[in-house]
This record gives sequence, C-alpha cells and structure tokens, in this order.
Amino acid sequence: MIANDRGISFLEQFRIQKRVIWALILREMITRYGREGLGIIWIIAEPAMFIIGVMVIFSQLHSGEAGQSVAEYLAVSYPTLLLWRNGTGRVTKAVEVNKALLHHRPVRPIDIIYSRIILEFSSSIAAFLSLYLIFVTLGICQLPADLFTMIIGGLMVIWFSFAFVLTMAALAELSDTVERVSHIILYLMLPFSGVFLAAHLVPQEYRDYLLLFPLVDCVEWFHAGYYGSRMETYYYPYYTVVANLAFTLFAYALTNIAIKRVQTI
Amino acid sequence: MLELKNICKSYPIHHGKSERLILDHVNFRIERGEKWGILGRNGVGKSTLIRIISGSDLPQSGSVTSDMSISWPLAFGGAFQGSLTGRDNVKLISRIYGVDFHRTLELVEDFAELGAYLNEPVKSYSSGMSARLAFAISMSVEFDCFLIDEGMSVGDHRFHRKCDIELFEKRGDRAMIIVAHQVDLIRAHCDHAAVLDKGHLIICDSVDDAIRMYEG
Repeated sequence: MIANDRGISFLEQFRIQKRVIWALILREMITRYGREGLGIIWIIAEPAMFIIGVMVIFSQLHSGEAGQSVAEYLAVSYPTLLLWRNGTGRVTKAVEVNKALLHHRPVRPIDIIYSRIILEFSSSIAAFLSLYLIFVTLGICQLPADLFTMIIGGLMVIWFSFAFVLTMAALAELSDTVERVSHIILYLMLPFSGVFLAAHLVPQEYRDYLLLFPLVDCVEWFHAGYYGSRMETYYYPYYTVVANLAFTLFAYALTNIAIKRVQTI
Repeated sequence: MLELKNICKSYPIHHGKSERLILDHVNFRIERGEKWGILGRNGVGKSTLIRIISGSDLPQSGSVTSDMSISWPLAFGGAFQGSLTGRDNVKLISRIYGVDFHRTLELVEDFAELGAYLNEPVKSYSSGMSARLAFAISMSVEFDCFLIDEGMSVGDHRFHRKCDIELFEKRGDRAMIIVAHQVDLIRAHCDHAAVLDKGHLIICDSVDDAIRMYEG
C-alpha cells in the first residue's frame, strides 16, 4: 500500500534487508545477554546447559537399548527440540512488542521475526556443535556414520522448525489465546517430535501414522545420518521435502495476514 | 511529494465489539520543501496520522504514496530501546540506515551533550536527556521530509535553540510536517496548516486561518 521510496531494485531491497536484520540481531544480542558477566558466551552456554541437564537426568532414569546409550541419544536428539521450542518462545508477540521500530522505514515487520529466529537457531546449533565435538572427544558420542545424510537431515529439521516457528509467531500475533496456550501446544508436540518416541519403537501398524508428522521424518533422517546401521530409522525423503515446502508456504501466507493485522489495528 | 488519499483508520473499542473512527477519509499532499503544521486537540488522532505517514501503521483503506524519504517522528523516544545504552542506540540506527557509526557518534556526542551518560542505558535518562539523544540521532540521517511530533517541547531553552538551528536553519530546504496541540511551533515555522478535528483534516488557506479555526 505504501509506495516505495524511489522505486529501488530487488537487489537493493535485499541488501537493505540484510543490513537491517543484522542490525536487529546485534541489538537483540546486547539486550538479551548484555555486556556483563559471561555476556555473549550465554548464547552457547544457555542451550548447552539445557542439553547437559536433560542428558544427566534421563540417563539416570533409563538404561539405553543395546549398542546405544541414553546420553548419546539425547546429545544428538535433544538439540532438535530446542530449535522449534525455544524459537517459538522468542518470536511470540515479537512484532507487537517492537512496533516502535517500524517507524524506521527500512525496518519491515518480518525482519524482526527473522532476526529473532536467526539468533535463536544459531544459538541452538552452535551449542549442539560445540557439545557434540566435546562428546566425541570424551567418547560419549561417535563420529557420524554418514555425515552427508546427517547434514541433510539436520537441514530438514531446521527447515521444519523455521516454518513451525513462523506459524506460531503469526498465530500469536493474530490471537492472544494462541499466545497463551502456545506452551501447551509445545508440550503436547513432544510425542510427535521424533525425540521421545523414535519411529522404530512404535509398532509397525502405527508407524506410518506417526511419520505423517514431517518433524518425525526430519529427526529420523538426522538420526539415520548419525547412527547409520546402529539404529533402525524410518523416513520418507520425498514426503518430508514436500510437507516442509507446503508448511513453509502456509507459514508465509499466515505471517502476511498477521503482520497486516498488527499494523492495521 | 507525499500524498495521502482517502485514509480511513479506526480502532476497536469495547473489546472489539465496536469501532471508533479516528481518521475519516483524510486527504493530504505535501511537496518538497513545504512546511506543514497540523493542529489538533489531545486524542484527536494526530499520532495515528504520524504513524501512518511514517509507515509504522497501515490504514484500513486509502493509500500513501511518496517519492521522498521520510524521517521517524523527531524527538520521539519510543523508537529507541530503553535497555540499550545511548551509544548502542546510535549503533543500531547507523546500522539500520547504513550511515557511518563513528561520524554519527561524534555528531551525537557533540549535540546531545550527554557526556559519560552516553554509555548508560537510556531508561536511566531524564526526559530532557532522552529528547536530546533522540533529536541528535535523528539529525544524523538525512531525510527529504521530517516528521515532528510535539515531543520537541521537552528540554530547556538552550536545547530548543540548538534544535531550531539544526532543523529549521541548516535543514530549511526540507519538507516538514509538524503535529502539535500548541500553536507556537507551527506559527513560528510553517507556511501551510491544517486542523484535525472529528476525524476530518481541514486544510486551511493560511496558518493564521488554521490557528483561528483551532482556537475558535
């Protein structure tokens, strides 16, 4: 509705957006972590503490199946949960809270969401990678059976989480009710997260139903790369890609509606 | 040129059960270099109008077209982050607009006279200090059209004098939209004026006409 200042090209637009998102990320880093104490190190320390805590508790409670320890399983599984769970927490109401920033013409509402997602995802991924390397050195984890498959699987998890977080961000802007129940949704998602219920533990007749949740496929894909033949994994690559794509389109459509509404009301 | 065509804007009241129309088919056009004053009483929708012009809010209907770059509302503290230091706010703005940080920081240090406070969180500032910071940062990015909210009325005499020099003397060739409920600023600096009343923007023939109508 607002005609662009001086009709700038797409490339120029992209350059501006990159600059703005980066500015917002740096701002967010300082507001959230500050300059005192551990400061920026919290970006890795916070999710890392979470992962270690969960590993310690669960490995006391359960004994692993033959050939794999619970600690090892959680070290490579739990971080996938951080992406969509913590990510959602960070983006809900982000646009509404930061609406004053929109007085600055170069800042678009979605930049606020992107900056938070990027920061949160980088934090979880960085924590996972540093812990993983440490665990490999300590002998808790092994090197991936198939690095390429693990990377693709990881990217699938990130892709799904992105669409999920974007959808939750949009829904929270659209409805206070969703914002209020978002932690309930997140909790009830756990059985379908691929972490606490791996596909091979599910009886065969129900397995395909579970795999209808694209997140389960993504996590299984990731596991397939890490464990190789050490664990039975089930996933449908084509279905995963198509489902993620459809979910992403849905997320963007919803986000557009939500942003328009936040700016109109 | 900046043009508003048939802008309508209403806000939900009674928990969304009904709506209050704030702007009712507002039309407005400003050319490069023109200085417009918009007068209106409290709660009449001046800030809403400013938000629509600055682009932070969208109207329900109507269009905003512009070939000028438009500033955020000057001296508007809300566009800054309270938990950040003055210095970090300067950094954020320079990054967003792609201007040189060190040059901007020098300018802000020189103008805002905050001294060591520049390294303290903005929320610890007095209202005069945050107005000085906000104004100084605003002057570091060049715009074709400045939006001025009445927030400028905070600050002491010395600050006002400095603002006048920076804005109305050094940048006298730019377009400006001053929105206020007091007539002084508009009488002193505008060559066109309008009155916002009951959702309608009434364009007047002269600034004096507008002031007479507003005070009448």
